Amino acid sequence: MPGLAVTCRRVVHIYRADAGDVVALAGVDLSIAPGEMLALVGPSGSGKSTLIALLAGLMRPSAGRVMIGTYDIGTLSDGEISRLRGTELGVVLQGAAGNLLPYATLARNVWLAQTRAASTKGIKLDDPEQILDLVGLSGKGKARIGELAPGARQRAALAVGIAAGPGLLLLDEPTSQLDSAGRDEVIHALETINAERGATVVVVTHDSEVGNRLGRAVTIRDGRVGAEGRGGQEFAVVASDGTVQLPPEVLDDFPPGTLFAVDRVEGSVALVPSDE
Amino acid sequence: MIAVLLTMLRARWAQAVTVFVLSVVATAAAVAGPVSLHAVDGAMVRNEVADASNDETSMRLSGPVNPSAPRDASAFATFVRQVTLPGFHTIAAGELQAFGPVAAGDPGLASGGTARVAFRADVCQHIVIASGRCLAGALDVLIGVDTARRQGFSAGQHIDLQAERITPNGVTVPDGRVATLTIAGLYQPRDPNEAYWGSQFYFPTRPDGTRDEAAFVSPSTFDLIDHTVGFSAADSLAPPSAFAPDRLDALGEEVAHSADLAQDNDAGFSVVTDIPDLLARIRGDEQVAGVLVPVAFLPLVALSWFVVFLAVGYGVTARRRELALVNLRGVRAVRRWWLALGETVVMIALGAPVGYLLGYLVVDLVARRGLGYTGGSGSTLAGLPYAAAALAGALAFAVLGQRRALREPVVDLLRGVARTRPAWKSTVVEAALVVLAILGVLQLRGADGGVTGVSLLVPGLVVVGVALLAAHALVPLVALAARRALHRGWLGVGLAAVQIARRPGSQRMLTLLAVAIGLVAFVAAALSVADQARVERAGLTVGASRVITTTPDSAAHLLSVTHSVDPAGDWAMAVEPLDQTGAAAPPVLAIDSGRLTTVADWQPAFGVSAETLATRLRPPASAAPLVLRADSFTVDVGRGQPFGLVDTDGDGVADANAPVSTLPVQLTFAFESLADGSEVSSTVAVLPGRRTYRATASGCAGGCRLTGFDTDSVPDIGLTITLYRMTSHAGDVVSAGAAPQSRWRGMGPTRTALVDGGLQATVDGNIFNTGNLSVSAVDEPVPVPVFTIAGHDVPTQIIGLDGNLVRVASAGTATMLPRLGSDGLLVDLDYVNHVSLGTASTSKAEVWLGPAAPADAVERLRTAGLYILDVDSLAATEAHLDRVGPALALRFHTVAAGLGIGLALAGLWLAAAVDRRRRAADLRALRLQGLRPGLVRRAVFWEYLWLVGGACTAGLLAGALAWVTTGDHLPVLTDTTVALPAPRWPVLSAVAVPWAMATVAMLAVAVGVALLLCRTVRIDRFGKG
Repeated sequence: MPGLAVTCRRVVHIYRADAGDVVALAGVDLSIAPGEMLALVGPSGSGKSTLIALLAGLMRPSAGRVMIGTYDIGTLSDGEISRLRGTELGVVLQGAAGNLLPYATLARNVWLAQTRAASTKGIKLDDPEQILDLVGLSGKGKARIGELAPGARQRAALAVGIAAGPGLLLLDEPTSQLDSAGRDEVIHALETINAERGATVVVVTHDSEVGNRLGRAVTIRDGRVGAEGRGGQEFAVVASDGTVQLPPEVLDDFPPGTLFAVDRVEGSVALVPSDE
Repeated sequence: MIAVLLTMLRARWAQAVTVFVLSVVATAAAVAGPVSLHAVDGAMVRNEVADASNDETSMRLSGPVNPSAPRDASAFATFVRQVTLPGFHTIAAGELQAFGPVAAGDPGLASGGTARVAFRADVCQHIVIASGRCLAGALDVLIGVDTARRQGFSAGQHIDLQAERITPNGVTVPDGRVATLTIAGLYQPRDPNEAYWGSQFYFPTRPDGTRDEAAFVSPSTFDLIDHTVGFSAADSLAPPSAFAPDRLDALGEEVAHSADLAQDNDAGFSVVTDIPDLLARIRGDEQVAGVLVPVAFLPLVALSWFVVFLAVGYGVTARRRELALVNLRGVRAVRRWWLALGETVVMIALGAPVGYLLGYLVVDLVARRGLGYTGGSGSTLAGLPYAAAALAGALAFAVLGQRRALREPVVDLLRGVARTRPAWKSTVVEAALVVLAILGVLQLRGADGGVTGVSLLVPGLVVVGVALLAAHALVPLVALAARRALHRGWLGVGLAAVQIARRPGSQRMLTLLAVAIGLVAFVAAALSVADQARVERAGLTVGASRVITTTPDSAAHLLSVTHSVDPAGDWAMAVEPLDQTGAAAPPVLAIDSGRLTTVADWQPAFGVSAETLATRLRPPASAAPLVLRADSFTVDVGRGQPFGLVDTDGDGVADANAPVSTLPVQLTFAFESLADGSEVSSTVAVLPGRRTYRATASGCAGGCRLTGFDTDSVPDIGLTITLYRMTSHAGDVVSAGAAPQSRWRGMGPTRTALVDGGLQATVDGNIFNTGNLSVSAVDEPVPVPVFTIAGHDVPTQIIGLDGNLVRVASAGTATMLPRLGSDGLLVDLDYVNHVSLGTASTSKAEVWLGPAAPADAVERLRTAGLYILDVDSLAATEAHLDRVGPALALRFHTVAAGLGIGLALAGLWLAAAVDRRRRAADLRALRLQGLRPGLVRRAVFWEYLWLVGGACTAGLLAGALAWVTTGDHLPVLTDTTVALPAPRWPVLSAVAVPWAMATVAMLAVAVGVALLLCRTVRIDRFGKG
């Protein structure tokens, strides 16, 4: 299945709690092209996991629009979202073990993830062994997760995530508990999947290296897109409402409430602090 | 999918096995209800039939047959064919009464004793020949060993017999020529009480302990004995199969039909059977058992479902992540449900057939071991609908147990712990159960004796309701205790309380354990009360520790014998039921009331003390008895006739001075020996006018009580007898005239009056008058005091010992009376005897023996002159009641209560097993935060001990409240034929012991699961982590 585009427009998500509502996302604007690989980075509590949960259809946005391909997540029924997750969305949760039935073999886990797609017309699925092969787990179909090394476990989780041949693969901290070799294995597997299947890959990570390797890293800060790194360079992003987040190091010098004059200077914009 | 399922089952085999076991138990319990009922029915019928009298298992067909009228014999044969029921084994018999036997040629034949000469088919197979042989040829006769010994007969000897008959005047005369027979052999009955003998009483026991055996002949010999008055009989014995539980209705109809046929015939043939009594008893038992048995298992089925619900619920809690994963992969709902429910459904489905078989096997085992019933468990398909219902219920509860998890969003499932939501649905269900319990109690208490099966679920509902309320109340209390304990620094106790208060499912587990304990407490209470009720019921039914039935005997003799063997009145009491005519007439029991307090099995339910009753039944006599202390006496008597009663000259006007008949009138004075109660009578021939007569009264030198006088007949013209004075030959005055008049009572048509200083007794002339002039001497209070049942009408007169009416008046009322139950009258035997003329006797006589009776009391009574027919006892009746319907049904309640505890323990173990990993993680985290191992261990132990302790206390409370609210409205007793209220309260130890045992079992399991958890957390017994 070709990669799916992802579009978030002014996405807001609020957690309701007895102690008071918590705004997790405060107007996220993000566009991801089909077949693109992207890392969502940012500090803990910035809203990365909430965003990926919205993309996975695990939650509905409180406001704004989340589009996966042509699907508007906010308007889909539970059944449609379930079908979407079974056919076009691959989700890999944080922690490899949480993605697999511990008592079932890897092949059986992959097969189980394929059942929905297998019963949907027009979808041709790879054999579980082929999928395991794709993530570098050839011949491990009869193994159970408890028998694998940490890196292999994460790849096994990846295999389950791509089992149905999704157009969008969402991964939450796939390298968080791995050493560098393991991390490389996982990134390599992701690159292979992206290259061979054309799937759009979105990874939530704390690891800047992962962001660098994936080519595009979007920084989520305070529930918004704070910056975006491409080709090793960090950019601020103009949101759909015209706001731009300043990098944290700039904020140290210009605390919130600082007044700027915005001057256009030969195709660029200069922020000139007020003298007051 | 199947492979995944198998993998799941393999991975969680312990949980799968538990669900399997629960399914087995639920199905077994569901099947056990109807199957047990079959076994209980079978065992109950078997026991009832085994304990039944011969009359209750046979039909006695009889009728007069004159051998010289062949039509009689063929008519009787036709009658037997018509009324004999299919399958019944008919034993042809016949008998006649004969003078003899005496040695052949003995001239004293007609003046000697008499014997029953009988023929009975297959008699040789039921006797033991002591000498000689059995019947073979014509004119053979079998003589009983005891009879032969008394009369000096031996096998081969010739004897004479002569049929006898009783004339309309009551005189016994020969009924044919003397028959000379040959004694073929001397016999003993193999078993005098064997069903084969029916209720013919061929072998009554004489006072000397020997038997008066019938003389048996063959049918042909019987016909050869010249006679005109004989009786043909046929004992139709019911085979055991006739009382098959599913044939009882048909049997009842067949017996009724036979009785109708007998009533319709005009040849004097009759059918006598007490089979309907037995059937009524069985039906009463069946009715109670039919309600009690299924009700024993219904709570068990419900409990199984609840444990399935809990087990699945706990299982789901541990599988939330797995369910989330399946959901996350977009697996279709059907497969998702299958993956979630599959292992439970498969194990429940696998458990059902095993449970089905187990239900049959357990019931069969309990029936064999507990009831001694080997009749099987009935049709193997009978339990199918119940098993299907149990299976469906288990599946429904399994679905219910995880419905919430299946409908939860993935994101919630991924959290691992269910989000706490207001559980309004379960609160509504629980509230509904509590309301249902309250309504059930109100309905049950308001029911007018019409307790139905549904009502019998009320105790279970009360137990559940109280357990729910207690669990609701306990959890906040435990939370409060937790706060206080933590505040005071009691970490172990505090953490345990926190865990109970906050853990999801604590409340349900508390409820489960409390319900199981509550059912144990309730069943224990029911068993205890039922035990007491059976003892009391036996006491009421029998009347005393032992009751001896004798051949009909006079009240005076019975009193005399009992007073001679037990002069102090400590253990023997004479009793005679007074035959009353009319179905509506209350039964009357005449008792030697002075001995009531020491002999009768008196119960508080009677509502009056034995002392009060005895005192009121026997107030001081109205006058001293008229006693003759001499062998002869002189009596001054006048004879005349009433005036103006007969038209002697035919002119249509009654004559004032009709001539007095000069023929003597036989006037008999009746006495009763003060020594042995025997009757002494003296007759004088009374001529017209006043004269003095001398008469002898042999045996009265020691004292005889004058009971009255009567004449043998009354002329059509009427008769007047005036008694002026009776003196002994020594000059002692027995009767000085008649004053006061209340000393005398005219019987039947006899009127009494005081005339010229004498008692004038008159019977008016009437050509239709068949009564005699009859007067009894009165020395007892008149009317005779009787004790009746409160709320019943008190009759003004009853039929006395001599068949005459006796005026009675109520001396008080009781709620119930011994033997009589809730209908009947008690009267003093001595007083009612004094009212009678002569030494009258009823058709049955009894001696009640109290608890102080010596072991050889029966022998002493026999030696003293009683013919003992039967000995009944409290112990035998209690044993019988222990073997019939309700008692048998209650045994299954015990089994069900035990299984309920087993289920609760399984639930506790399963919950702990499923929860162990999470709990261990929590405790390890506490350890990492610095909690000392000893405190962790203490927290673990206290947690389970609090849980079990709270549940056991709440369960006891629930069981107690269930008993308090419903115990007095349930048929947990014995049978429905006696309206004796059951004791209200159980014996404390009878409840405490099973409760303590169940509590100990639960504590043991609690300690076990706590130890396992400690081991999982790796805390050794020294508290080191």
